Amino acid sequence: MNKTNNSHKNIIGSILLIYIGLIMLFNIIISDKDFSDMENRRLEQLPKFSFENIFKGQFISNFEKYISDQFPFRDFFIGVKSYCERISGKKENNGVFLGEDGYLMEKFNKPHDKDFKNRIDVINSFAENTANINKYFILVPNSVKILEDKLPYSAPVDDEYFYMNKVKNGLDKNIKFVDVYDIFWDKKDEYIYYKTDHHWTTKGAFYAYEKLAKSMGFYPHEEDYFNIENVADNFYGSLYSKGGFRNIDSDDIKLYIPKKSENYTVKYYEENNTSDSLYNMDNLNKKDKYTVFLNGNHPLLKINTNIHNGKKLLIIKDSYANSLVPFLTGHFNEIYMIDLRYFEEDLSKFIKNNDIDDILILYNVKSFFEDDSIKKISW
Amino acid sequence: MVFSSLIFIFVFLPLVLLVYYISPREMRNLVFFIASLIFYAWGEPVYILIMLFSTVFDYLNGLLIDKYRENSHITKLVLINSIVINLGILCFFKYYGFIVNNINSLFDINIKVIKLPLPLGISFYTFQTLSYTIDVYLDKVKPQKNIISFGTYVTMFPQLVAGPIVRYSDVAWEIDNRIESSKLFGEGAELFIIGLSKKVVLANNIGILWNTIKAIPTSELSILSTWLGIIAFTFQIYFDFSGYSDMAIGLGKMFGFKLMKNFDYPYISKSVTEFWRRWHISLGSWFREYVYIPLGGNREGRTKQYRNLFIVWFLTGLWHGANWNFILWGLYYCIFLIIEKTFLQKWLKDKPIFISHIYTLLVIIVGWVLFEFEDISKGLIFIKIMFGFGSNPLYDSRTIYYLYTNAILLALLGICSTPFVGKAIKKLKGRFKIGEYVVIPIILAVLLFICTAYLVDESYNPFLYFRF
Repeated sequence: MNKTNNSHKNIIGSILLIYIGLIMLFNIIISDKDFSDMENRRLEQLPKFSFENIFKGQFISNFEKYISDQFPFRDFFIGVKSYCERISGKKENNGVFLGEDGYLMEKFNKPHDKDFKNRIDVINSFAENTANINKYFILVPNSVKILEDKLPYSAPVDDEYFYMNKVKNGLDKNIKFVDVYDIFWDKKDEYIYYKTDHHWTTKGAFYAYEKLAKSMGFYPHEEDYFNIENVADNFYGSLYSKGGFRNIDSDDIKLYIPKKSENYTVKYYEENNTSDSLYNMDNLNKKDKYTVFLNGNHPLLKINTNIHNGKKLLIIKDSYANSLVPFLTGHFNEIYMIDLRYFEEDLSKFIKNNDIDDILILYNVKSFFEDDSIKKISW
Repeated sequence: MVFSSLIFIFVFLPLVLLVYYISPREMRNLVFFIASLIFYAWGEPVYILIMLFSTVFDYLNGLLIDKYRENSHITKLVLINSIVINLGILCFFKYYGFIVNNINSLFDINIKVIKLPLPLGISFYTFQTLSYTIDVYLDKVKPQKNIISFGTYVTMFPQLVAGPIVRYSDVAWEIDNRIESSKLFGEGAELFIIGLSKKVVLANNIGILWNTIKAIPTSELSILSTWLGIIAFTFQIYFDFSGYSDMAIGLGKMFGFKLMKNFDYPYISKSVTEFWRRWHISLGSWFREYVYIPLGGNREGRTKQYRNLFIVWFLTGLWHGANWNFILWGLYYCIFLIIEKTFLQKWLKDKPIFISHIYTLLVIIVGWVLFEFEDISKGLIFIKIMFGFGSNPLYDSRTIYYLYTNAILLALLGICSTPFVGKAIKKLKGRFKIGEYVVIPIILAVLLFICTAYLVDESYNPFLYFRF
């Protein structure tokens, strides 16, 4: 009896040793990786051994990071954890909900009262400073609100609609609030938000374009004005990375290309180059395929079109604008796009020097309330 | 270093095991000692000096007491010296800020507080070295002549960080004469994997729920959310701590040590008295042995017994942290223990058993509120809400969400808090050979695999600023 007991213990001891040994072996065999696409960051490399490093404590912390970053089958293990969480009934990870039909939605946390007021104040002060220019403001609700029916049952999120209305009522009358909420709510069964990314789809942007046109007083092109091209069907966006959920359907990216050819010059100031396309098709081979639109975000860019109506539009925006702008090129002669997160120049001078006719401020609710760069808008 | 990390499991442990087992027997204590120092120095390179000082100091104290055994003046002096220095070190690093703050507020003065990080495991190893000198003084154990052997005892990495608090007398023989065996190693591996799972899969996950609920402003909490939150913490602290103890005991066994059990399903207790016999056993017995009994225990009448209990529980509370809430938590238990001794245990005896369970769990759970909120007033507000003395609703949508998304985890935690799983495994072992040789090893392998996944995931750190 005693003997049988021992061999059972031996099995368990051996399992532990073999498991650890195998992992160590793989650790040595498998070569180190430089970059994690999923996480959009560089992975830690084997730190250099020196006594100075050791005494500063750097070696130790870097070595620990190195071991975890280069752990064999790291992505696989992360997937295993995600499955375990799902089996155990968890519906949320890292601020991302796993909704119905494979929709990932990012949690919205309400702003503090003081912070809210601050944001409204800077916009209103901007409006005073630019009294002679037409101003429009689009605040785009996120999928977490429009698709709230797909959220896990009784998920704890704050109400974006409430805060959108609060913004609408708090804005200077000098700014036209282009309310896209109702149209999005009506169209919520259509594919207006990506499932795995925090952006709206091109279709979502199209509906906002129609609404904006009405507000600005021009006739929008209808959908059949465009060839709708499906340029990617394996897009796993930012929420897929952030939430870490696996076994989820990918998204498609569609481009609305006017049937009648339009000519553009896109000038990227910081990068100091120009392009004759609104799209950077190379980015469709990368992880973040949304950057196909205008090659991602830039502090400042200018688009010249062959619509010679002399109208100049300035868009102060976050990345939601990148997929909306291709609809606007058919109606303006010059479009400037400024991303306040990266724009370091003097905004007042810029507006004065460039004879801007219309200004569109476009943010999604989350980035409007969470990113502080909007405060750079007033001077 | 902590056990529940990739670097420990996949780098440190295999290297130490390898070097340890290829070394000849007489070198093994040295290997173990050096390994323990590296384990400690990892991330705490400076404080290792304090631990080494403690080691040498009490090693010498042991020898001195032994040498001047005939002269009770000298031995007494050495003993007092040891107690003062050991507690002095502990006080300086752990309680200095607390004491200064209290003096400041009491006399309305402003002495500057120097904030020192707490040396890892100091509460544990000072108690160990202290117990050694006391036991030598009382002639309960022979002094250790070999400094490496003594160092092995003090710095023993399996229990260095979070116990169990091993008394020298318990391991004195093993230090120089232990025999490692594959059976012991297998037992150790099993315990280690179980402990790791408790910590990584159970404690860490339910901890997320508590942190979420704790972060909600009290005005937005519902009554049931507070209960859910503190029950989550009740599980978290038990599975965290007992998981760590299991890992420690398991590691000890892998190297031939048999350390004492530290937890024995505390949440199935039928009284607070029983709870403290099952919770952090090594600490309780340390205080009993070195404080309660020397003070006279229960042998000198009721009044003195109550005084002794008060002192022991004041110190037990204080040991857990340098803050008044911990002292309050200790005294809170003191009160219940006294009530139980005077009448409650008798009264409960002929009542249905579930009443005893409910009473005990209530005391424990409310106790954890006092323990967890360093700001006592916040803790009291939380308790008020729990018992409905507030305008908070009974439940809200958050409560429902937290409840159903954690239901499986909570059920698992509940089951694992009872001996049910252990008993089931024993039955399985007894009845079928296949259970013993196949099912249990497979379960443990899967647990190990899942723990690895959770540990790897800790480094999953997407660069969140995705340029919205």
